[in-house]
Amino acid sequence: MPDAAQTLDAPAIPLTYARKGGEGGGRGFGGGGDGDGDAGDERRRRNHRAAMTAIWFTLAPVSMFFMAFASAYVVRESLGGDWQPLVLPPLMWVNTAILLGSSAALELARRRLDDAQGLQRWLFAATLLGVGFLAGQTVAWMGLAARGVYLASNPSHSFFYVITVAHALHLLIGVVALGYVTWLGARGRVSPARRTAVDVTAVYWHFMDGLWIFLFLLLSVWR
Amino acid sequence: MALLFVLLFAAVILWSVVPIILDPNTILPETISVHGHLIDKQVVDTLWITGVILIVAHLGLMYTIWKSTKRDKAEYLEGNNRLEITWTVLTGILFVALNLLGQPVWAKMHLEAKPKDAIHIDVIAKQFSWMFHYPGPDGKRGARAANRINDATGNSLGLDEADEESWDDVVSTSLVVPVDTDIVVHITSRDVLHALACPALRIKQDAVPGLSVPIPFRVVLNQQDWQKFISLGGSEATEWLMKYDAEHFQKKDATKEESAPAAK
Amino acid sequence: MSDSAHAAEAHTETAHAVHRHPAPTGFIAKYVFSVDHKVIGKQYWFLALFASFMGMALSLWFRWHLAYPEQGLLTPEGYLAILTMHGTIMVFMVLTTAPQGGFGNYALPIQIGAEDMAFPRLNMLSFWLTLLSLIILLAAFFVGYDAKNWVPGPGSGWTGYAPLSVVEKAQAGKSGAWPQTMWVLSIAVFCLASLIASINFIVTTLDLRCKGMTLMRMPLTVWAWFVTAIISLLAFGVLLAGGLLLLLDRHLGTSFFVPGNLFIDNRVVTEHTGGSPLLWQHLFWFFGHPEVYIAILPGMGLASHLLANFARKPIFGYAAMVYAIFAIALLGFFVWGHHMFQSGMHPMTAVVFSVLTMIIGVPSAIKTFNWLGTLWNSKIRFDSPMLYALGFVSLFVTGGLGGIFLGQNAADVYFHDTYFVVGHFHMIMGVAAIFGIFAGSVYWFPKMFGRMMNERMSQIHFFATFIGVYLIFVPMHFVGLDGHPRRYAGFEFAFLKTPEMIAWHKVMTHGAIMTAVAQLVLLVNIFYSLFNGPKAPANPWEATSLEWGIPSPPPHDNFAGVIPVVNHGPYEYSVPGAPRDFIMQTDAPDILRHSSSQTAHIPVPTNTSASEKFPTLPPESSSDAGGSSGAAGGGSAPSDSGSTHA
Repeated sequence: MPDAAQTLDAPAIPLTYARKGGEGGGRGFGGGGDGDGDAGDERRRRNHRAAMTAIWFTLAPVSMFFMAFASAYVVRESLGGDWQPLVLPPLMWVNTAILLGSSAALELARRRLDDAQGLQRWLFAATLLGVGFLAGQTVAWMGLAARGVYLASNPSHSFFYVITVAHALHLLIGVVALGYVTWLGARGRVSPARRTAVDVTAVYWHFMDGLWIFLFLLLSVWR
Repeated sequence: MALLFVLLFAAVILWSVVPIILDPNTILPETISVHGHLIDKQVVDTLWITGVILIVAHLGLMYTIWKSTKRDKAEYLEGNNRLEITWTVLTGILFVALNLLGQPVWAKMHLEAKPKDAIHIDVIAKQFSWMFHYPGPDGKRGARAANRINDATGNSLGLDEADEESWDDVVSTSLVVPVDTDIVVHITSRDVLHALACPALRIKQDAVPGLSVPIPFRVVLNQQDWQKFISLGGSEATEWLMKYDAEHFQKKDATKEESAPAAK
Repeated sequence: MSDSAHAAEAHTETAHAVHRHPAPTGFIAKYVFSVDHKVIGKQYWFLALFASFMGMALSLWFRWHLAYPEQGLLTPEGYLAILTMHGTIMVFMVLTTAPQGGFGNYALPIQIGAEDMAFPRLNMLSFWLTLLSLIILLAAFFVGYDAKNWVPGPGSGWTGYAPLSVVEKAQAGKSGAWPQTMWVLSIAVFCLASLIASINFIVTTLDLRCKGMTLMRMPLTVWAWFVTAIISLLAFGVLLAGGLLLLLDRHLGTSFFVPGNLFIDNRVVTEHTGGSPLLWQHLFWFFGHPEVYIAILPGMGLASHLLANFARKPIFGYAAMVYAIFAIALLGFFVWGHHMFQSGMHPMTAVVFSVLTMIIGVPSAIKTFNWLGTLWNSKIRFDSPMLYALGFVSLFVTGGLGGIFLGQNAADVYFHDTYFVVGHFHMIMGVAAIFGIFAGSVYWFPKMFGRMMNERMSQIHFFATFIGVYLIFVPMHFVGLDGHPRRYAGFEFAFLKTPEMIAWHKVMTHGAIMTAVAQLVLLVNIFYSLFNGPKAPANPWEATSLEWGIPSPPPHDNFAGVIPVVNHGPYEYSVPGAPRDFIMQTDAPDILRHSSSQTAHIPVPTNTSASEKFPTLPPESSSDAGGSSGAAGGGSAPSDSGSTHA
């Protein structure tokens, strides 16, 4: 058994270390210089990359979450018996268009990171359209409820509410993020160099958009 | 310390293997169904293979540990790709082949057409007992419905008194079956999930409400303990089965206690 | 020397500029609401320690009842409740939190040369959510009553099969819907915590590795944590979805999992129609089977790490080990159906799942072969972590072999829902994984708390526990082979009551008591050593990975502002021609050319202040610090010597 004494006796060998932020630090980022600014730059790059990795990986459990609902939906539908197909309210087509518009607006904003005015305008539009989608969904739910379509009135209704509400809750997080980015933009804190928040939000938001198309198709085609 | 480990792993081998060798009958009780023998063969084959693996792995541990005490310095050895590929392929073949050996009995129980002329018995689980619904002389089981269930009046299955098919039905709390006859049990539940456990028949099946799982089997007994019926105890079912196939059986006693199906 | 001192100072400044959160000062910020991965790792570890003793106490309770049912220690309802609580606490709060949340959090960032996790605040959030989940779960103990009796928890088992988990009246705690509801809520919160944590692990591993830490230079522990995080990421979302549906069925009258026309509590259940109990099982086991690997993979990674460390040999087949981890993770998502062979699932599906299940045995076998290959021609040091690692291998083999029976749909016709299943999964995902936790605790204790544990007590604990668990779980296979069904509160049936089987049940119970007593030794060892253990050197095990190149315990940002450069693989033990029998990952790339004659010239350090400012290096160890600056010589700072080499 090695003890402390033995370890002490071990021949000392030079360990190699690299400096932070400067030459050869991190994973080879940044050129020379010792200044704080460079360290800050490198940190920003690292944070940007970490944030992007995180958001892409976040999409995995979100996908699995909805795939679980989707596969349960398909299985439950095939059991037949008590299943009454649900015709989706036409308003949902409008909502879908609104959501697509929101994604487009966000993308337009992302192409204007150096144009504060345009950026602000398009970010605002994207947020507003996101809120519009949520409002539209709420109206659609209320319309269905008025027709007697409740959570527990039929399994198809249950799945409709579970899937659309779960999506809306995920979207709500996206709207909050969009609001935050818009606020950042208004304070002039979004620029080509400081784009992490807007990029992360965009990945999430576009994904939610695509996810909605998938769910919408599932609910309207696979009845 | 190395010696302690050698002793320890030797004890592991003995403790895991010896009781099975000494007392194989208790470990794997005698089966009385045809497919049970096939399942037992699969289990015994697997016992042999896993037993050998367990012994070889622990002997390997003991050997390497003991040998390491004889060395001054470890050998610098990073691996051997050919060896890796060899044991990957070999274990793969072994495991899959073993699995495929078991597929015929699975097919016999679940995939093949159920035997004709079998006696069909519904097995219904409830909290906390089993009910066995026999067709009676007409060979048909009457319809059951939850809204007719009344445990107080004894209609625990929800049979319909107006339904002719149910008039001669026999409901028992024990499973009684004739030997050398094809039986199909249809297992279901009237409340939550249960599991039917008949070790001697080598039948294990979840009872799921809303789902009826058919399991075919046939009881065979060897000449010495030849018996008419396999049952948990006397019941109405015994009586009916005696009538059902009177010429086939000569004796009336039927009391080898074999399987006690019970609710989970 | 003044040069190097100056350089060190400069580093410290850079560090403060770069490190994202300064060292906290107050007690609360330091130990309670900490964002430091090391503190969070310890928090997880203590949480798991507490939960494991809870779970163990519950198991003793019903184990005693099973050996001596005539004493009436538990009602059938009480038995099921205690069983459920035991399973849930152990699986979620011990097997999932300790290896990943505890050791992963503590050691992963250091082992890859990062100063913290990628998202320290999310890390803190995932711990607090886990704690919340535990509190909700424990509360389920106290809220269940039937007409007059206390029912200590939900009765559905840790698998929560519907309809028992949905229809309130189906359970004995008839007036109390709460235990089962709290069980679901607890698991939902736990899912969130695990998802957040796993994203953190993945990003940290991918983006925060230090220079030179290529993927194939990562210790196998890091690979295991990384892959475990990926499994968690994919599995917990599905459990969360299933749990939400279960909750809706339970409280809002939907019919996902509950079929119509159930007759429960003397009436027809009219709230539900046409649902499928199998649907829940599919969703649950899609999570539940990967969960097995979430519990065991970190243990496998650690066992590999320790076998190499204490056998003083490179791990045999490093690449094969990495591929095996991935193979297990991948296949782990396609075998969930083997939990449902006898569930009423389509029998053809069972054939497919069965073959896939046998194939997943292969990577597990590869790992075992490679462990034996690592021990081959080794020079074993029997330090306490090695005891547990060797125990792990034995338990992994013995436990794994049960899977060869259960993975075959044909053999499972007999073994389904018997004690054989219980014995198998306890042996492998329970005890083997817990031996991984023991090994990790003993191995990293010096690093975590700066003190050594008592070797003698660890030895006693190891042997008593190892013998104890074999006394419990091998006979459990035997009674399973005899056909004993699981989850029966008593064995009132004649065929279960043979004298041999009653004797085996008593052996198991007494083995459990012995095991429990042995755990008190561990507890004493932990708390005694925390305060009175000898001070730990930086590298007590003469290991190679990065955490052993920094003081015990490490400074707040791990590397004191200087990030390491990795030049070597993780298992360079007994390299021919090397000056000592291990090459640390941070050693100079040309270490083999550093002849012993050169190192002999290294001056004995006199400049203690330099080593204080440069705590990256082992303190014993000022020798090393002085050594490196001396060797680098020529006025170049130690850090620069690194980048020069690199």
